[in-house]
Amino acid sequence: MRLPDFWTGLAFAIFGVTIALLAQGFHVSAGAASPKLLPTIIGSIMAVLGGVIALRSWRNAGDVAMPAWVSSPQQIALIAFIPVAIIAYGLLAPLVGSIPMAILIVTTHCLIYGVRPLTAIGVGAISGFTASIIFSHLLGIPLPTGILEDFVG
Amino acid sequence: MTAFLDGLALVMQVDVLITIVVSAIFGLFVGMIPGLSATMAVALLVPVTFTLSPVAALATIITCSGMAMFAGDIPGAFLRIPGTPASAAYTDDMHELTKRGRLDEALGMSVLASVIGGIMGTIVLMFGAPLLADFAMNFSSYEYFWLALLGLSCATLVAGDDAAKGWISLMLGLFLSVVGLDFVTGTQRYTFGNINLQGGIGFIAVMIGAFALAEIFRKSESFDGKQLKAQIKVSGRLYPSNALLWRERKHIVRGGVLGTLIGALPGAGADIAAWVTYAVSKRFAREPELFGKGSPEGVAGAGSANNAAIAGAYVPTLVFGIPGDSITAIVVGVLILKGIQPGPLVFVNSADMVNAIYIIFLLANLILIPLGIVSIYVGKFVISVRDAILYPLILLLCIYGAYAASNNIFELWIVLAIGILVWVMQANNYPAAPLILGLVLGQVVEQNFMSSIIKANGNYINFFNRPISGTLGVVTLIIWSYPLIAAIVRRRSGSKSGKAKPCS
Repeated sequence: MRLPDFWTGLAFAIFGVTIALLAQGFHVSAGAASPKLLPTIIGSIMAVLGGVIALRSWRNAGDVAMPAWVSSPQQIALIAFIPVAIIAYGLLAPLVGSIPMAILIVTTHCLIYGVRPLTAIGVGAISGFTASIIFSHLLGIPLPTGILEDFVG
Repeated sequence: MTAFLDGLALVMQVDVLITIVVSAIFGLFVGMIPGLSATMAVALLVPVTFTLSPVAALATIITCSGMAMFAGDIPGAFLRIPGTPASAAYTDDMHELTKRGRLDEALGMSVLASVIGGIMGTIVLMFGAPLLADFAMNFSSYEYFWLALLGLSCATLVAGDDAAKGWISLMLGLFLSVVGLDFVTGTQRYTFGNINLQGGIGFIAVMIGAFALAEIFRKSESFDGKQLKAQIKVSGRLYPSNALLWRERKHIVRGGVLGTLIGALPGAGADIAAWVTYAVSKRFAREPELFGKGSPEGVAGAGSANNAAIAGAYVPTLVFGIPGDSITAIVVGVLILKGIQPGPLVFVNSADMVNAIYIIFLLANLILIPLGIVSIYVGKFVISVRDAILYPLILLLCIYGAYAASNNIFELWIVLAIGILVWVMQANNYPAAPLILGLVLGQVVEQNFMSSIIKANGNYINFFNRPISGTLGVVTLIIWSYPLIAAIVRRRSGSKSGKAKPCS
């Protein structure tokens, strides 16, 4: 995802200005310790440096080239799957439980990587089940169990 | 002596010893896989440490990082692809030597140089850190404020070839550190009413996002279905002879010293230590022309340096609570989580724990000798593990690891956001390490600044009144203004020579 420095610099400059501006709204109580001091400094430095990066490369602002992975459906699917898997786990694991979600995520990810279906299901089932048991029982992490696992017991 | 024996008793527990062996195997496995760094191995292990005793938790991190650091040499030797960034400096040498069947001068030398370098770093840690801690006992919030700022400066100085991008990464880390409730006034900062953000951004989630999830994104965009296969046979003598080891003694010792010193600089870490030592070894080499074409001298120096840097990074971590690299940034988090506050007092209040750390370092380096040799034989097969199976498992570990940090689904959103951010940043040459140091040191900087300014009643001169804080302050300001001064001097000397030309 290579972008011309102009655009990344500009993005950081805008972000820096936003940080500094939002800091001005913080409530300042009496005394020398102001909660807005450090955020204002951080935002200002980021804005200046972002501006410097944008300015020094403004000539190349138009050199936007699409990354190579855009032309590969498999690579697009692999990249898109990462946020989808995390969001799906976050939203669905409390409902259906961690083990089914883990098996589903690993199996689907393997399939997108090009693993044969039977192998993918095998890897997904074994690793999803084992990892969930290790985290919940061995390490004592209360992974979401969901209604399905509650039902199974 | 009593503290040492207490430390030994803490380490010689069954759970600690099992933890050392398991984390050693895990570290070797992750280190062998090209693209997976020692930091990532440690980040993925952090959730496991929650349920362990403090000593076992530290043993996990120390052993795993040391093993992963060496194991990074294995794919370098077989495939000419460094397993970890710290192995990159001498990958060509390792590969050329291995191709010629000189495994004793490549991986064998690397194992022993790593062990000697690691032990040298540990000795410096054992004797140097307590001395420094005695000195630091008189430090107040003023000194800690300047020290943390100095640490931030080092982080950006060594961050890469573009200082501005290093600084932006640092500012992002500092910004993440101020999210949540202000510790003095209780003001909500950048929480946007979200209760999950009031406690601040979770450090573990950021580490997993920056070092593990960002790597999965990178693999996804470069995946071409080809699987790495090591074609070189492992045969012949693996250990270097005594004569060979003696011949390279100067490089190994120099690597150990340089690695420890560079490792102790906040932000520098093992990667920089290996590159600097490789360059210095070449300067003093008998056969500098062999560097990059199969030089055991380069392997000995840099191999020793990267393991020495691991122990070196613990010096500022334990003495000042200021991490030397990303791995010790995790160590600070784990120590605090376990109720141990790093700083000079840790040598008094938790002397047994500090001694346990020394012993773990020595043990981890010693078991590297047998495990390292086994991993050279096994490594050929491990590096052939299919990415298509490995990366889905890492994704699952990221999800579970992030959730385990606070048993809260919200951590997943942090991991995802940081993973995407660091992936895009690194693709555009913005380094990730300053972001992590900014996140860790941000709170140290602000808390010490606030304490100092309250004590000084708003008088900034007090930051320079004490001899040590004044010295540290001046040094920090010189480092910060150096790029500006250098640019002005360059411009003035340029304009002078420009004016001089027409006269000549």
